[in-house]
Amino acid sequence: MKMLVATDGSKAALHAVRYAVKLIGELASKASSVTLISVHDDAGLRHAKAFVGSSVVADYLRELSEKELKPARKILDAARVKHDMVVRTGHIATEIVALAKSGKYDVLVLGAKGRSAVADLLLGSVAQRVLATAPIPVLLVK
Amino acid sequence: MKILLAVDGSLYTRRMLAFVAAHDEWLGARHHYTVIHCVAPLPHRAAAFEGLDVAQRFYDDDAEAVLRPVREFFRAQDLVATFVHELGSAGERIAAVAESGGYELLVLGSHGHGALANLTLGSVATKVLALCRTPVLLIR
Repeated sequence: MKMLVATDGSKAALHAVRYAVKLIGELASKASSVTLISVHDDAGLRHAKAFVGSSVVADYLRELSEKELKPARKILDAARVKHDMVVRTGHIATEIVALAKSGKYDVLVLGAKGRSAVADLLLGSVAQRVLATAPIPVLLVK
Repeated sequence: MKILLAVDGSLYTRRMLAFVAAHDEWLGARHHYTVIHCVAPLPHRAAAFEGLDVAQRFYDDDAEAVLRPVREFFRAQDLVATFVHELGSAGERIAAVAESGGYELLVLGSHGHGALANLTLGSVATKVLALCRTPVLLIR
């Protein structure tokens, strides 16, 4: 089972990674792997780009993503699950779905609520948008 | 792994079974599947008029019509599964069974029969997500 796991450093995202590890163990297939994806929205940083240059902003966002991916990678390393990562900038849900559409993945794993979720929302906004357009089954982990 | 499959005989149920069948690791004896279908209760007056037996038979027939193809699917795959049907609001019953049965995964269609194509999530899926903490695999 090839899993695409969206990570934003939130608690729910780490739950999703842990569950992906458990699922891979339960499914006991040799061909399992995890791809972590971290996306940062750069739409709000247009002024910053004009001021400091877009490469500085891109570096900053990449750094953010790598920091967020670290605990997830630790979990995967500890469980010896084969994994790689993808770091993108752009509209979060769009980028996640675009990668899910590549045909390389069997399932998309998401935390039900990410970083910016309002407490009484059932599903985070990213999860909602992804669900609306995902071409593959979506595993939601609370 | 203890897996709960929620079925309703819709297109999404067929896609769900296709997903399971397409991946060998989901088959095999290490998983235990329970298949659940929820039947909507008859209006009180109809149930009272027809009597309890008739109502019960109606529910059983309704459930069997949905569960039979799934039963055949599991038999063809050589898998043992438990089949249950519940009476009541599908979202609430599925969530309750998923929680109380200690399931490790719930597989659910993103929509059911009553799908409005432009809704992100069907009403049953929305309710289930609100009510249970079991990880949910949404088949779209």
